[in-house]
Amino acid sequence: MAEMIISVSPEGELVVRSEGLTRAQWEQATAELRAVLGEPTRQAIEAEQHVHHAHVHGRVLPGA
Amino acid sequence: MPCGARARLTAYIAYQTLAFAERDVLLAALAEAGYSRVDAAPVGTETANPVPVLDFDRNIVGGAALVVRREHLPAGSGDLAFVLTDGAYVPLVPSGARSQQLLERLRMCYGRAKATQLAEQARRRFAATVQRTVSEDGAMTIRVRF
Repeated sequence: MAEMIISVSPEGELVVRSEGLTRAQWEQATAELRAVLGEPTRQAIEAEQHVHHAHVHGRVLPGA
Repeated sequence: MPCGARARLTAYIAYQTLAFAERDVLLAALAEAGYSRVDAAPVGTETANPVPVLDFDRNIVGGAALVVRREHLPAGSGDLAFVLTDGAYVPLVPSGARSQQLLERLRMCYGRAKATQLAEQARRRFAATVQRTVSEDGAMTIRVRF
C-alpha cells in the first residue's frame, strides 16, 4: 500500500511525503504543487526501490 | 535493472512559507480562522483591487481584492485586507503584535486548507482513503492511502 502524508506545522510549513508512490505518481503530484506554489524550500528523494522484471526472450518454432 | 517511472519512492517536498496565492484556499483559511464574512472584489476585477480598505478611524487607506472589516476583527483594529499583486494576495494589516498573531494563525490555517485541498484531490483521483489528525498545537497530518 502506498501512502502520501501531508503535514502542516503550527508555523504553517507544508510538507508532502511519499511512502511507496511510484515515481510517476510522485512526479505528477509535485509538478502540480510546483505549478501552484513555486519552487519548494526543501526536497529530497530519500530512497528509491526499483522493481525488477524478468524478461523472457524467445520465439515460437512451428512444429517444435 | 532500473524501472524508471515505476520505481517506488520515499521522498518529500517542503514549503516553509506559503504565499497566499489561491483565492479559494485563502477564503477557506479565513473561514477556519473565524472570518467567514469577507468583502470580495467581483470576479474579473480583482487585479484592480477595487474594495476600499479602512483604518481604525474609518479613513480609506487603500484598495484590495479581499477585505475583512474591522467590526469582525478584535477590537481596536482597522480592516484586514489582501491586495492582489503579482499573482498573490499580499496581506495589509495594521502594525502591532496582535496583527502579527493574526497573520501567524492565518498562515497555519492557509497551510491546513491547502493540505485539505491536496488530500481531497488525491482522494478523488486515486480513490484513496484519507485520515486527518490535528494535534493540540494546531499541527495537522493527513494520511492519504492508495
